[in-house]
Amino acid sequence: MNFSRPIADECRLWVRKGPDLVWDESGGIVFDPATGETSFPSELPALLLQTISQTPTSYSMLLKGLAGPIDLDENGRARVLVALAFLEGAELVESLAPQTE
Amino acid sequence: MLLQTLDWFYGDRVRQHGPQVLDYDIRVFRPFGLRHYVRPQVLFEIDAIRVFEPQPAENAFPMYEWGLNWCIATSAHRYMMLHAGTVAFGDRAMILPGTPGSGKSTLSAALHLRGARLLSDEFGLVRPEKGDLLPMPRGIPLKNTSIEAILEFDPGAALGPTYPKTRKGRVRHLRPDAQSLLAQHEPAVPRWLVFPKYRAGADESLQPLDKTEAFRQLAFNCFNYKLLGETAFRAVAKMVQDVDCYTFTFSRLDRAVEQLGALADAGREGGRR
Repeated sequence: MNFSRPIADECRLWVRKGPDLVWDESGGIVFDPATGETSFPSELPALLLQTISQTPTSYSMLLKGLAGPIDLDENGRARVLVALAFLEGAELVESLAPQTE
Repeated sequence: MLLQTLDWFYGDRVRQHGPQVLDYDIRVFRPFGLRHYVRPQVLFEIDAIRVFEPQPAENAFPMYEWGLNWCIATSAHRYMMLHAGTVAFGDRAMILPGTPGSGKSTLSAALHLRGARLLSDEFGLVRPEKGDLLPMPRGIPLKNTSIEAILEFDPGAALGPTYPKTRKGRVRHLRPDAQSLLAQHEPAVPRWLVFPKYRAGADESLQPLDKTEAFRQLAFNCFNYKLLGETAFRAVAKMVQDVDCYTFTFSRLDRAVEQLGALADAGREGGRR
């Protein structure tokens, strides 16, 4: 885990590195072949985890993917950040600092 | 004495003639020296390695049984090993996973005494590629007050000798019936997953269990879940998906067996999910 965060979470890119995750049929239990760990994410983290790929994706793109044309309110956006932090803590995804020119 | 006890429990099933593959080379023997005569002891060796402290000679049979468990726990990793008692109704298996003290052995013993085929106690061996359960019918070690509970449930229960001082307290083993021993090469298909919890004085309560929670509890009760990795994940996921999952609180064996028997009857009428 990266405990020093010079850039706000909203600015970071989110990526899943390593082998593909293995899901159970319900989509609520996931096995990570890279770590051998099984996780039981709740609905929002599971949705995010299924969205995040090996291509780094920004927080705003993730929000668009989740909400479509509807803007999430402040509370919704905060919940997404919490879910991303959970996924990163579980080492299922990583966050990267955006490339700057 | 050990041979007599083995014979009483397993009869011809432990004497195989002709070509065979031996998985383990086990020796249970009394060491030479003073201990041969004064407070004699018994040793357990697997492939010439001693894995346990010497035990009093009178505990040779429980030591042999626990030694077999040790062999399986440490080497049978081609199977997914559930910490569970398992019984079968026809070819459909009921899996009773649980931690020590949950009552799974006592419940398995009681179900067996009422006609369920004994598949195994302590270890439920699952072939991950097929998802079926391999039988391993052996004496069910009943500990301390479980002995009286089973005798009260069935005064005619075929219990072996009493071992008053083992490392797990007072122990007697329930002998598997002849039918279970005869069918020991016939796997069974998981049909019910029941997580038992003995609670003194409680009313029997069989409650459906959410599949995610069933997965969590089954994985927790799988000895080699971490070791098998994705194989175990897929096997647990498939099993939980294919079976009916319950928690079961109980205190009275007769009522408990009645309820689980009714569940089995209803399930057999309804076929496999």
